[in-house]
Order: sequence, then C-alpha cells, then structure tokens
Amino acid sequence: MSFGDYDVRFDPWQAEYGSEIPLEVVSEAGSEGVDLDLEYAESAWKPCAGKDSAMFETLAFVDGVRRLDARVLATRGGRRPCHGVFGSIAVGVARTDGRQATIEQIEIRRSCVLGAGEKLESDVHVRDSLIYAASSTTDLKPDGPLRVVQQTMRAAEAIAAHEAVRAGAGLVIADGRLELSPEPTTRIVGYVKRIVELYLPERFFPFLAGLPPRTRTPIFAIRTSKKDIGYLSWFLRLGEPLPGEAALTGLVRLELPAAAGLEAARALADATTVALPRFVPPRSRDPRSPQNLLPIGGLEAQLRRRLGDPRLIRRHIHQLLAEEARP
Amino acid sequence: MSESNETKPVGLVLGSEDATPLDLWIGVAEGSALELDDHVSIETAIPDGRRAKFYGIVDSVRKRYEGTEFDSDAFRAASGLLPVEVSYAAHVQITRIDPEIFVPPHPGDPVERVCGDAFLRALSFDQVEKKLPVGLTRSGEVMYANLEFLDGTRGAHASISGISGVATKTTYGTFLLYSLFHSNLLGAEAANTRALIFNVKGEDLLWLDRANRRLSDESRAQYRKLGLPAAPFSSVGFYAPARRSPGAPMPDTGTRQDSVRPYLWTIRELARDRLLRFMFADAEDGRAQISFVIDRVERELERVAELDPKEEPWIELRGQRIETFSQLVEALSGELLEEITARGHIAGGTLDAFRRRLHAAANDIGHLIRGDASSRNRGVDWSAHQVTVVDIHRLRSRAQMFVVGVLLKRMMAQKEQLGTARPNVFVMLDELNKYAPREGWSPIQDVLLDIAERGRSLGVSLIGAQQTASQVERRVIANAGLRIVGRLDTAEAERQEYGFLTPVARLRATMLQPGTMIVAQPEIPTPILVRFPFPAWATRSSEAENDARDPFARSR
Repeated sequence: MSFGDYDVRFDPWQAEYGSEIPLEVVSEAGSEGVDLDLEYAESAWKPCAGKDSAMFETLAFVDGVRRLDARVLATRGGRRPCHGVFGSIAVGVARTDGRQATIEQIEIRRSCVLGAGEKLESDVHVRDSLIYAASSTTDLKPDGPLRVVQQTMRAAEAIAAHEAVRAGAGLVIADGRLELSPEPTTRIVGYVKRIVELYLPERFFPFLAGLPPRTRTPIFAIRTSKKDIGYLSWFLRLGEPLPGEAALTGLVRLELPAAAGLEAARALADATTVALPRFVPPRSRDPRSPQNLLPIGGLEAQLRRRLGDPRLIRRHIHQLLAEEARP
Repeated sequence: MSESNETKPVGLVLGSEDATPLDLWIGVAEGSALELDDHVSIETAIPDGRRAKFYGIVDSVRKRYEGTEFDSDAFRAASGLLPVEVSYAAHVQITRIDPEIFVPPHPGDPVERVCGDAFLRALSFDQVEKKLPVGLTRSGEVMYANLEFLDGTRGAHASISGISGVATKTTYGTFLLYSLFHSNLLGAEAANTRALIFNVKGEDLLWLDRANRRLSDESRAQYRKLGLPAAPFSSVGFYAPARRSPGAPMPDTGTRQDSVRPYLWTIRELARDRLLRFMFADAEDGRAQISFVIDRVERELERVAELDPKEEPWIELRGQRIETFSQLVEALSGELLEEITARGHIAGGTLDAFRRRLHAAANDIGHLIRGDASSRNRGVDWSAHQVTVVDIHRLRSRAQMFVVGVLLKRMMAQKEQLGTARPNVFVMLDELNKYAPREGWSPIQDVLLDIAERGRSLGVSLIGAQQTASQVERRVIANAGLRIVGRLDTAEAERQEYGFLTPVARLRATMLQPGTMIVAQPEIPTPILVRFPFPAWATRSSEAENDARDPFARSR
C-alpha cells in the first residue's frame, strides 16, 4: 500500500510529461522602478569594458534541472480528486579553475506533491533507487504541485551556491534571479539568460542594442515592492547577433543583492565582463549560444543523465499505480 | 573462493555496452589501471543461488571524455571551460567460466585482477598435467603450453611466423626446445627424447653448448621464474657439411671448428636409400617425364647397390667403380641412361633435361657424396645427443634441400621401423616456405607433409618457422598445435592463415618487439602475448664462455 488511504491514478492529460520547462513560474514582477544614476549619471552612460581579477580565478556555475515524471489525480474517501505530480530535480555545481572544469555537489531530490492541502502518509517507494518524498501544497490549480517542485529546485540551487562559496569559489554564477538569502555574500551573482523584463526605460533600447561584445552597461539598481530589498544589476553582451537575429541576442543580465554595495558590485561586474565571454560555446555546438555557457551546458547534460531515463521512470510509476489501483 | 593473491576490485562490468559470457567491457575504477594482457576475474550470482566465476584477459583498453559531443570539446575541456568526465574502459575476452554456466555477467559486478594460482585457473592450466613454460606474460606470470598438443598425445607441431631479424623466430624455437629439455617435464623420457635443429642462417646455433657471458641478472631471474636453469643446452652434437677439399673430411664452418663433425653421404647410401630424387628439388622437376627418369635411375642404382652387399662406400656400375659423384654423373651422361630407361619410351629431350639437372646438382651437392675410404660413417647421427644441430647455412639452396630432405626422410623411416611414437623427436626448421612452398612441388615437401600429417603418430614433431605462413603449404601450417607469431608485416597479418589471432592481436603483431611473441594454443580461446628470456646459451663466439667446454662433445 504505497499510497495509504489515497487512490492515485494517472492524470489523463499528460502532454508535458518528461519536459522540463512546462510553465513560467519565475516571476520578475514586483519591480517598483530603477535607479540609473548609480555608477554613472544617466547622461554619461557608455559601454564599460571589464577588468581581470585574480580573485575570481575559481568560478562556480550553479544550475538545476527539473523534470515532471508523471501527473496524477489523487482522491480519498470519495472526495473530489486533487492534482498531484511526481517530480524530480537535480542541482549541481560546475567548478573551473582555468585548467580543469569539474562537476561537484550534485544533489537529486524526488517528490510526490499533492495539491489542495492533501499529502500522502509516507514516501512513495517506486523502486529501490526511486523514492519520492511525500509533499503538499494548498494550491488547487493543476500547476500548483509543479510549483512546489520548482521551489525545491530554487532552494537547492541557493544552498548549493552558498556551499560553493564556502568551498572556496571566487565567484559563483547562479542560474536565474537570485533567491535572497539571509546570508549576504559578495561572491554570488544571479545570471539571467533569458531577458523577459528590460527594466531600463525604452529610450535605452538603442544603447542596449548597440552594446559591443564583451562590454557591459553601467550598474543600475532595481527596487522591489518589499522595503529594503533590491538588486544591483547590469547587462552584459556575450556575443554579437548574427544577421537576422534579434538585437538583444547575446545579452544577459546579472544581479546581486543591493546590500552588497556598489563597490563590490563594480568589482563583480568588471570581473564577469572579462570572465564570462570566455565560456561562450560556438554557435555550431549549441543553438542557445552565446547565453548558455559551456559549464552550464555541460552541467545540465550531466544532471539530466543523473535524473535517469524519463521513459523508464514513468513506466515504473505507471506500473506501481496499476498495481495499487483499487477496483 | 579464498585466493590470497587476488586484489581488490579494479572496476565494474559496464552496463552501457553488452556484457556477454564470451566478452564484455569493464569500467576501470578511479585510481586503478588496467592494461592490455592483464588477467581479470568476475564473479556473478545466478538467480538459482549458484555463482559463476568468469576469467578473462584484457585485449583492449580505451579512455574517452564523457559529456562531450564534438571532437573540439577536448580543447575546451583541457582549458577548463567545459566540465567532462573521463571514462576508462577495458574490453575483456573471457577465457574460462567456472562452472561452465553461460550466463552473462551482471552489469555492476566487481572485477578483480588475478595472478598466481588464479591466473593458471583463468587459462584452465589448473587442469593441465604437462605444463611447458613458454614465456612470461607482461605482468610477469609464467605462461604455459599444454605439452600434449606438442608431443603427439593430442596434437603436434608448432608453427612460428614473423619477419626475419625482428621476430626472433629461431631464438624462440630454440627456447621452446630448451624449456622442453630442462623443465623436468619429460621425466624418464628425457633421456631418449631428441631434437634435430637445422641451422639455416648464420652460425648462431653452433654455440648452444656454451654459456652466454652477456646474460644479465634480470634474465637469470626470468629463467628462475620460469623454473628453468639459466644454462646452455646440456647435450648437443654439431654437424657441418664437409668441405669441398678431398682427403679427410673437414667441417665447413666459419667461427667454430672444435666439436663440429663434418657430414657427407657415401655413393652407396645414395644408391641404396634412393636419395637421388632429393637433388631434383626445383618446382618443374615434378613433371611426370623427368620424375619417371629419376625413378628409373634410382631403381637401377638401388639394384646395383644390393647386388653387391659389401659395405664399401663405393658401388660398381656396369663394372666401373664409382667413387665420386662426378663419376656417377659421367656414367649417366652416356648410353647408360638410355639403357636404363629404354622401356619407358622417353623423349631424348627429357633425358637431356635430366642430365642437365644432374650436372647442376653435381656442382652444388657433389662434394657431399663421396665413395672414398675416408667417407665412411660420416652421416648425421641425430640419436647420439639430446640436441643435434645440422648446419646448412653455407650450402647452396639445392644442397640445403637435399640435406633436409634426406635427413628427414631417414628419420621418418627409422621412426616407422621402431613402430613406437615415444620417445619423441622434435625437428626445428626455419624457412619452411622454401622447403614446403604453397605453390609447386618438391620431394622435400612430400617429407614435410608426411611429418605434418603422420608425425604425430610417429612421435615426430615439427617446430617450423617461416616469414610468411601464407606461402607455406596449407596442410603443414594447419596441423600445428601451437601457433606462434613474432612481428608480422602489416599486409601479412591480414591474411587468413592468421585467423587464430583476434583483430587486436593481429594489430599488435605488427608492432611486436624482439623477444615478444604471441602464442595461440588449442585450449585457450585467445592468443596470449609472452616475453621470453635472452638466451642463456651463446649465439656467437664473442658471447661464449671460454672455459665452459661442452663435456658431451666428442673429439674427432
């Protein structure tokens, strides 16, 4: 009896099974505005070149992958079924010291999340090496449980980033917007690959579009709705768009907590402007070039492999559900 | 199974490649290393509760980056831009399954390196009674051959192929004989077992009875490991062809005169034993017409020899005493030949062809056929010593053929008369492609074929060597129980004669160093690479220890 009182069945609609980005859960909303006159006066904005720094010789790239193994519907005592997922995440760190790149700190978590406040009594033991931790969310919507999986991954990424700093990394490049943690550090920057929100006023579009490769914008501050919480951020051009590509191709945005202070931010901004373009993969190698840096691509491939074969895992889950199904 | 000399796992059976009961891939654990020719064992559990132990040999090793898609990723990984992992894998050819349960090993099963007793078990040598040391594996284990496949019990003959000068064929063949006579393997038979070695090139083999001054301590240690003394051959007789000069026969050698006996045949032996045919060894001599003439002349000579049963070295032909080969040639130049072949209706051209060839033979071999008083008892007595070396390297090709053909035919006849296979005679002959060519025919080829096919039952074992097995009569090669290759020419290695080599062994054969051979034998499913020690006997006068005279050598 893997599911206790619950009757757990496959969700009939599983179009996105096995996929990794089924929903846009990262919200960059909540920005209350930007301060542009931080590093340079707005009128004096110009592309900034980077500066090499020995301090950031050891770089660590933190990234995670998430996979939806199966969507389920669970019901108990004849009540209305709630949505649930079997989801897996893997988080790891790609560390490079200029001579060798290694993958470290791989962590894998699997959970079976039920919505509407429901929760299985015990972890689901699908196979010996395939155990899903019981988890829950009050969310009633179909994507509610998946959000929980996503949050698990984000939290694991944040922990991994701090661990990487403790392990001696000079600079940690974390994937996506930084989860603000109570432990302030000036060694972690968030690396936003896909620019959804421009932040800068529209009049800056020509400036951004014309930003030469391997230069950055001046640092600007992003205010959020929460008091005292904000980010220092800058755009960096990793590579030039090819003919026919959008003007923002090759642009990434980096950020760190405003609490770090402008001086620390400037040092990181200068260092990343020199360091990151080195990791740009050739276009022929990766269609997500230049944003998908080599260590991140390598790490993601490794993490996906470590999650196991999605079809096989789904078959195991299906088998378990079939065995447990009540007539 | 408790094997004290087994070590901790060096790796695991891979699951990303097929694991079969006959061959499989293993992943080598970090911090461990496996190389070609290493021996490993794998124990696997079978659902019915039994356990099967697989023994195998590493025949290929490889490393590759994992997590890379493109060749150019190697440069990115090397400069620390792309994280990759290195996969170190080894391919294992299974040599034995104990007990014989042909299930595949399980991916993830631990793999251990084997040595010592377990190594012998890996190659099934724990079941072999008569183990002939044939060299050391690269990891230093003693490698054996089952003597039963060499001494006629279950098989006979060894075939050694390889490029001249690099493959060390003769040295290895000699080492095999040394191992045979000095490993105590023959027991009581050792006293009567014999070896006949033809020295085809140089005078390397004329020093077998002298210790090698240049033998290093390392080589001595190798002999110790093999269970062999590091010493010269203990009982050797040397024969060299008699010089062309008349009078008392002298051995025709360059570097060594002492203890070398000259050999030749008397006219009577030539006639009585029908040896004439061995002078006609050219391919075209096999044509029916000429061989008919040869046959008639032989019969006539045999008849004449038997008419006069005196054991004189000469014969009397039509009242004329024949004391030299030239006299015989002279006699056959005239009417006599027509008379002998009268009833055969032989064309005059054929008789002339016979005479021409006989003249040529007289030139090359004539000095080895004599009828004077000093030619008595100058034959090769291969039964007097354990090892008899017959030097033929200074002879012309036709004379070499004659000596080899006559001696081997004689030996087969004697063994046949004895009617018993034991004790064995081992014959070592290099350049088999000359004596038993694939194309054409020669009387010597007939003898060699006879040895290859009947030698096993008569106790005659041929250790044949050749540059290219592809040019040697198929049946001679096919009957060999032990197949050995030294360095092979790349094109030669691809030929079907080397089908016993695995593709990897074939490739390795093209880069073998002197002193290294690949040995294939019937009971082991894969050929094994062995090293053999530097000769403990001298191979030239500068190596020979001066004071160590052969106590068995007879003085003339």
